Amino acid sequence: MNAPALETRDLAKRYGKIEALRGVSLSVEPGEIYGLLGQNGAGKTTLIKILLGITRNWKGEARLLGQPAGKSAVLARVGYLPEDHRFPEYHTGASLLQFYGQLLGVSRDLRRTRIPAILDTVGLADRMHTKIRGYSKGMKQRLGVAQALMHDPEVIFLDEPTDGVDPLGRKEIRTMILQLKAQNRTIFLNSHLLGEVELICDRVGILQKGRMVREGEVATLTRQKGSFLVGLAPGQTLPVAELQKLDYVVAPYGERWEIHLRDDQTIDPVVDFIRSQGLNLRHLVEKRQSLEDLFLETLKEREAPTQRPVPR
Amino acid sequence: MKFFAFLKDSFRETLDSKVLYVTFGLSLLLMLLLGSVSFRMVPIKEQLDGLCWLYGLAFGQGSSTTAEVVDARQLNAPEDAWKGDYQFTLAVRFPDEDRARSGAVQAGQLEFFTREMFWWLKDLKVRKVDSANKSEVHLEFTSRGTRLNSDRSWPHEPGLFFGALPLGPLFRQSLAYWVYWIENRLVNGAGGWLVVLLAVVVTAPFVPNMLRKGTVDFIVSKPIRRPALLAFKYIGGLTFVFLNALIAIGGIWFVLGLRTGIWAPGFLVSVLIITFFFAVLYAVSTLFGVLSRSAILSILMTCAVWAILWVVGLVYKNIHTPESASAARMREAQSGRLGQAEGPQTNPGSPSWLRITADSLHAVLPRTDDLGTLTTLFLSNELLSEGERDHLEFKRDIAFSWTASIGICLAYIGVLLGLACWRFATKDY
Repeated sequence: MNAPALETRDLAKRYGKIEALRGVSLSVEPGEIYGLLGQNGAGKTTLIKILLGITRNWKGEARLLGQPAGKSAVLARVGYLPEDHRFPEYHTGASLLQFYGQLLGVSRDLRRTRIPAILDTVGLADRMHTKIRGYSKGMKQRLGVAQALMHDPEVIFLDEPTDGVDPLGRKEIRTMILQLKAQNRTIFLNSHLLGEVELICDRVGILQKGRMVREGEVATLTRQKGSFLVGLAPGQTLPVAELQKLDYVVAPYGERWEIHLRDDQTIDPVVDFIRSQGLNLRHLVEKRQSLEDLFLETLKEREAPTQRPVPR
Repeated sequence: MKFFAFLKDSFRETLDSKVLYVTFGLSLLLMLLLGSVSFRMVPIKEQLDGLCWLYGLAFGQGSSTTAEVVDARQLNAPEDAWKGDYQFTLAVRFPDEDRARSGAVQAGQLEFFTREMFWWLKDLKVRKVDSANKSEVHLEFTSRGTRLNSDRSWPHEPGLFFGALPLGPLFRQSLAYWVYWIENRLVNGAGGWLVVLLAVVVTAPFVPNMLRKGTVDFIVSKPIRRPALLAFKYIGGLTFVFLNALIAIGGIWFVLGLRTGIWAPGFLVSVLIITFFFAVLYAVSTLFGVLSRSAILSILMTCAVWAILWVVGLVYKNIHTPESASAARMREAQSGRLGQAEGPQTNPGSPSWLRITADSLHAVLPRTDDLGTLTTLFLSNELLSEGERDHLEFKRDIAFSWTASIGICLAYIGVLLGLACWRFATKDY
């Protein structure tokens, strides 16, 4: 089994009196797309900065590509797009990538071929020799993605990669991320756009006030166990009262009905009952909750105990 | 490769500010201006006319007493002028005979003034000769040989725009002195200050811009150690000054060589001296750039440190450098007490607290001002004749040492950059 692409154990970081991270442990496997969610100030960016050696003086364990976090040798194998970044505006897109490429140790020959190619991929080929001060926010974001990928890194940290990018550009970036995954690259994604995270991430973790409060596969986390949506042929009505007598919890859901199962119940008797009534079943799906629902629910759950009065 | 990447990045940042174009433009203008300066050897008669004019300005007592040249000739013509034996008669003209009869002081002042200006005439003897006009006193001077060693030591008058705009008697010095003056005062002094001041302003944002929120993450997440990163950025800033100084000084040296025939390579050392001087200031700028991430604060602190170092150097030099003998003689001559005063004085009036403070600060602070003095001595040794250096009393500043000045400056650069690196390496971004 391969070693994790990145791993933290009991990671803690304090800025003065503020505890930014409180014992965060996580592990991301090679080739995985991992999304880290959390409110502003939850510690998401701090976690990335620790792994990249940008932030120092932390406690716990953090390893990147099998090496202790922040090691110079490892950083050459990592790409990073920071949140709210600002490029030196005296550069052009191409000259900036030349500069960063040199710092990353990319050979001159490789830079010569790679830079136009990556700028073409992010849609900046025709503006590569324009000063960055003439770029729009979306173009700067695309350039940010380009610089994170230009040296073909094994692990890519993307902090709000689609921030300021138009819908088409967002789709292109999502496609690019999925292509990178297909090339077995590991991607660590911080994003507020939960819809996007849900679309592309294999696993997510939710950070709240420096703690990892939920973590798992997206498909598993968003499945809402015991809740189904039922739809019948046009003009037909579900005999709700009859089903309630059978101890099912039924509630209208637009033109359909939502049926909640108790722990000992299955959906099969409901299907049998509908058929026995001569009704035509047209729609039956297990209801899933969106990542946004999960995120909000998680935050609500975790906030709730702190709102109770503290017993004396 | 990383070092050159930073060097190129700093160069790009400098070009973006457009200041490099301005400084190159100013250097080019200065080169063109200096290239247009013609130097004309001034005949002895014309020098004496100038002397009389200056005498009128300095001692004329509101133009009531004037001086003029009665006669001037080279006794050993056609020998080169700089090897000449000379005889000339000067007249002090008074408003009336009574004043002429009591005019011994004025005649003494003219003799003093002549000896000061014609210090290079050897064995200069003077005697009072009769005059038909009783309101005049005539002084006849004779000399045997000179203390000059070539044509270039002979007084020359510069004229701007290929001689179309002569600068007049006030500006008559040896050709070697003019080259020395341009190199030392104009280029090293005023030009150096201007370049360093511009460089302080242009390079101060280098470090704060790099450490700006949103920019620093890109840099510090690259596989390069932070102290090396800061050192590269620092060297990038120095390169700006080095390039400016190299182009300006190299160009001026070339132009002066073409115009005067004096090719003194020592002037090129000034490129390193100016860069080294800036290195001290840029270390201050770098430290405050790291601490505050503010370009404005870096500029202010750098200028404050520069001012402090300059004042300390100036006060120290004034306290410890005796008054020049010529200044003392001029003071005596103007007060009409020639030969009666005590000679040069070493600022006896400076209070002991000032002396102790200046000595202490000079001992512990970078000696940037001393570097200027040492450069002056260095250039004077290369360009001026022994006689000129004696006359200009350069040996008064001999107490300064290259080793101590450079050593203390280097130590400061090391300490300041060390602090900046430590802060940069340990700070969270």
